[in-house]
Amino acid sequence: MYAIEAEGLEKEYKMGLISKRRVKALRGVSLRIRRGTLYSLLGPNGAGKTTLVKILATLLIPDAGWARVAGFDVAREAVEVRKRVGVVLGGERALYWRLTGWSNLWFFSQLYGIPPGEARRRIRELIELVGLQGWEHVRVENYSKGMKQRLHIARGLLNDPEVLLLDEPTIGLDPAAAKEVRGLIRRIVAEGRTVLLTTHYMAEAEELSDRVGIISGGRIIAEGSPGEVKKIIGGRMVVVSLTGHPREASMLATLLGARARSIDGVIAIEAMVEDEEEFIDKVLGEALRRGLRVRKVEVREPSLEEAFIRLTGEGQ
Amino acid sequence: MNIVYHVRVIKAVAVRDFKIRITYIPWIMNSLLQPIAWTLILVYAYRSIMGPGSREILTAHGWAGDPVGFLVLGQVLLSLFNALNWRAGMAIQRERWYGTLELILQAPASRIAVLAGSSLFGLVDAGWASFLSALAVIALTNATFNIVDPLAAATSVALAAVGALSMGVGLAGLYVLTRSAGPIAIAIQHPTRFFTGSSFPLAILPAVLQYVGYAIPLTYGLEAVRMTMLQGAGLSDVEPLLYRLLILSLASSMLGVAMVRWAEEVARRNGWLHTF
Repeated sequence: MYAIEAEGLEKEYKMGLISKRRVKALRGVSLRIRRGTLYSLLGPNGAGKTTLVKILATLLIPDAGWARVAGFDVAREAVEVRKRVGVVLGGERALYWRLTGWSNLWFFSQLYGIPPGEARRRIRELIELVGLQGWEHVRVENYSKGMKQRLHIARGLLNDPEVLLLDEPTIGLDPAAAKEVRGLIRRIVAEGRTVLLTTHYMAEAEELSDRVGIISGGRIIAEGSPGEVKKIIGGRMVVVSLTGHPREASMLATLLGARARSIDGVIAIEAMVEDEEEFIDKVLGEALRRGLRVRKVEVREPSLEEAFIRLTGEGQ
Repeated sequence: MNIVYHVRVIKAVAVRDFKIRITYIPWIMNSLLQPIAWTLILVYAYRSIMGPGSREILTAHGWAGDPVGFLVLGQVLLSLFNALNWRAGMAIQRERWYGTLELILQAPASRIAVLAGSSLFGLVDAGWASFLSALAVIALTNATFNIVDPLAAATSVALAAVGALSMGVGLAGLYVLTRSAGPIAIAIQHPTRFFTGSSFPLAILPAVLQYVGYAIPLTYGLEAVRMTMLQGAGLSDVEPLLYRLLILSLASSMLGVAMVRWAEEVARRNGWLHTF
């Protein structure tokens, strides 16, 4: 039923031979991800996302707690997990740049024990899936960032994994390349695989995920469908667009505990509030008193990004 | 099934190393030319210092035979070790440089098979370069050999190569523990040149330093090769040397493999796999 299960995972890094500085990366993370779904793990830098992915990929041993991937324990049955999981750690490295895309895939296919005939067929399929036809016999050093990332994903799928762990697969990609990768991820999930995705990009998580988890300070602080996570924080997003003296608008925002953004001469006063009517009344009253003109009032559900900022305190 | 899998992994690693290697033509030229240059320097140093009496001086230290042949064999086997130091020794470390170590260790393949594949390619890669360099130096210097028992000579060469390989595997266990493997690998080359007696008879060293030399597998291989190719020794003459060579090679390889396994476990506990 669950492709990934984790309970009370803890991990602490000790840094330096002499100072022994300790950094607690995970503080009791528990997680359950259903088969055939996409789960996004969101969190600021240093929140523990990559540590969690590496534990699930058997690259790290947890200090406490346990995790099972595809039904096998990551610490005690690491080899069984490795056979069933694909990992894309992202970044431009982690490929042999002097080899062609085909040679890279061939090499890793042999590490996974795929018989030669089947490996050839699988590589052909994956090259097609990730849209690298015509480039497979070109050295990786000549690939763009997006092409390298797609090759990473093809490598992660070589062993036909039940579970695919994607650690920030669109980081550093231009919008077009990131869109291609997102399309690819969608196709992978449609094939019935379970995907755990870590990302900084909220829109990406909102677009792709069945469920999201927000991790901060080594703990999962909110979890659910994107809609549920947005509801956790409560309230609605109010955006009042004003024109007039920017200093007055800024003071108005400070007074009401809101955020002011200036776009093309229009100042947007934004706040997540429980009672939108009361907030709008206050803004309108203050705007009148300060000689500001109201152009537009918008009330909407908060985006996942806004929920993330509220929950993690990032960007405050 | 498992054996077939391991063989495929070994082959894939060796082929990958070959494909990457042939993209670095200057390195190939270097591995061919450096042993020639080193040996010629030594040959001319011997000739200029010892003059025509070098054969007698060498004989006085227990090595009856052609001094040039003595140097050529020493340099060839040392080059073989140096190459394996960088190939087998750095097999795991190199994955760190490529940024692929985590992916290699995330695959279910045996780490020993991966190490074996890199070592195998290293042996072939270093072997042909060493052989061609030796032929070039022999042609340039008119070195003479005295081989009475070709089987003994071939066995000695093969086991000396095994000794060099085992040292590479042994060093892999050391290099994987440090992020400064490159400088250490360079630093190890010179003591090896000194203690194995590749450029001079080991007998001229004080006894305590000779003990260090005889703790190195390559020293035995070098002596066996020189005895069978320069002094006409037979298999029975070099048997004790070859046994010691095999025992030390086995110990070195086992230590290397154990260290690599231990290092992986430590790295997985401490999160060091990605660091470089």
